[in-house]
Amino acid sequence: MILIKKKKFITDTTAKIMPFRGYGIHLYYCKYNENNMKSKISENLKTEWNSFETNTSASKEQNDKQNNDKEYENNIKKKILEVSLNFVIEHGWSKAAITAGAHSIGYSGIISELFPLGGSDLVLYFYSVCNERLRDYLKEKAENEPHDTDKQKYAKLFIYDAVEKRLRMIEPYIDKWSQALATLTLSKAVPTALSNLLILADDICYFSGDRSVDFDWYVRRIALAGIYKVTELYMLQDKSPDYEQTWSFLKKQLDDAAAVYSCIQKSEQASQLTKEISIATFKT
Amino acid sequence: MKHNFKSIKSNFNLIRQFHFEPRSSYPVNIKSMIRVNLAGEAGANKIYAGQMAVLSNSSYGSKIKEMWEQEKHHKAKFEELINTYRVRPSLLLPLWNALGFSLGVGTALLGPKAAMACTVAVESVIVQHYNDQLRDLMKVEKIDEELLNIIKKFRDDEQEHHDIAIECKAEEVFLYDFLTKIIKTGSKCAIEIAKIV
Repeated sequence: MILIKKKKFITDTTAKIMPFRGYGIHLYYCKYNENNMKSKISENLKTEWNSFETNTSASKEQNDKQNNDKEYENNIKKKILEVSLNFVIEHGWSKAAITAGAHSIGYSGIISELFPLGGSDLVLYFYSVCNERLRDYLKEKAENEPHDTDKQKYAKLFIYDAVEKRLRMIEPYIDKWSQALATLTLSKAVPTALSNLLILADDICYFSGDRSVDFDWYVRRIALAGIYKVTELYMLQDKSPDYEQTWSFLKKQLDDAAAVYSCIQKSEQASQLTKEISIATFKT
Repeated sequence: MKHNFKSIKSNFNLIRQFHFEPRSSYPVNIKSMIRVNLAGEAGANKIYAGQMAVLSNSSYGSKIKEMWEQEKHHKAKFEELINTYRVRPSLLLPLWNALGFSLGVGTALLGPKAAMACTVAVESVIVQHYNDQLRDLMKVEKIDEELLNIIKKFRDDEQEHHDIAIECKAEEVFLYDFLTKIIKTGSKCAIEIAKIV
């Protein structure tokens, strides 16, 4: 039995090493039986195709595995960051807070590798979590509350409420928030921080009923992001009870922005008028 | 020398990697699709507006207006989609509007047949672009039927515009090949830019 097996093994390997051995005989044979050759070629193609398909599916599995690994890593990261938020008041937005958080749920020694940006990672995580919470709140509000007849007024109130709600989220960390803003200006953290800010502005604009599809889209979001940032800075030095001055400041900013916006709209109407007049002149 | 050879080899490997990558896993960016389509339809709208500004009283006026109405419908549809998918509109939208309008006016001033040649060039590029998108949309496992049907219908409309323009003897215009080639390259470049910005 073993001998037979060995023999088979030898013939198989020789066929692999020298695939063209006996090719001449094969051709000779095929001269008389062309159909046979054709079927052989198609069989070869089929096996090749099958091997290719299995290869691609294998790479797909590998991809899936990699994705799973990444997801697993992200989940651990989220867990650690969530816990370390409790230590922010004590240690500030720093690596020390993350280390303390990781220690409290039993991880250690892996921190510096997992969080290359240190404190900025923690701030960015907090930012995105707050954005998500605000998005859920706004979604619910936009669906449940009946729209007022006056759209602009409704939008203004909605934006005011949203910005206030969002700023209230950083209230527990207000003493350390200036440090967080400083860490966000690190060159590596800036792109994510900016995108976080614009996502926030986009969410607020979208749920407040803004459906613009032209350049207006950019103007509104950038203006709102600016107002949010300015109010945030104002809040840092506000010592009044319950941040009353901040909210009045925010109201003033929004009023100003609305006035500017209506001014722009009026100028657009004026340009429309001039266009119509010019067309009328050229027609006559 | 050795270093050079190495870099060439690594480049070759890179190319091979991309070449043999299974196409089904290639990500389809629906947001970028909708963005570029809205930019394209807005530009096309402005081209017809520019042509109408010059040729409204000529014999081609009614045909251009008919096509313009359809383009308006296309633009409105993509404006709706851009809100449902929450896509960022193209930042260069004012630029596309200005370029489209000037292209429409410019070709219309060369004569009605030149305007039709411009329509032929632009519509053929758009049809090709929509066909590419349809192919991309078919590649993914979970096909977005709604978007697919919309793009299919619009593709057929644009093809119809192309045929109407050819019926209007667009090919008789002086330097037809030259004119259409320039417009085609221009619109292809605009499409590539609008996909990203």
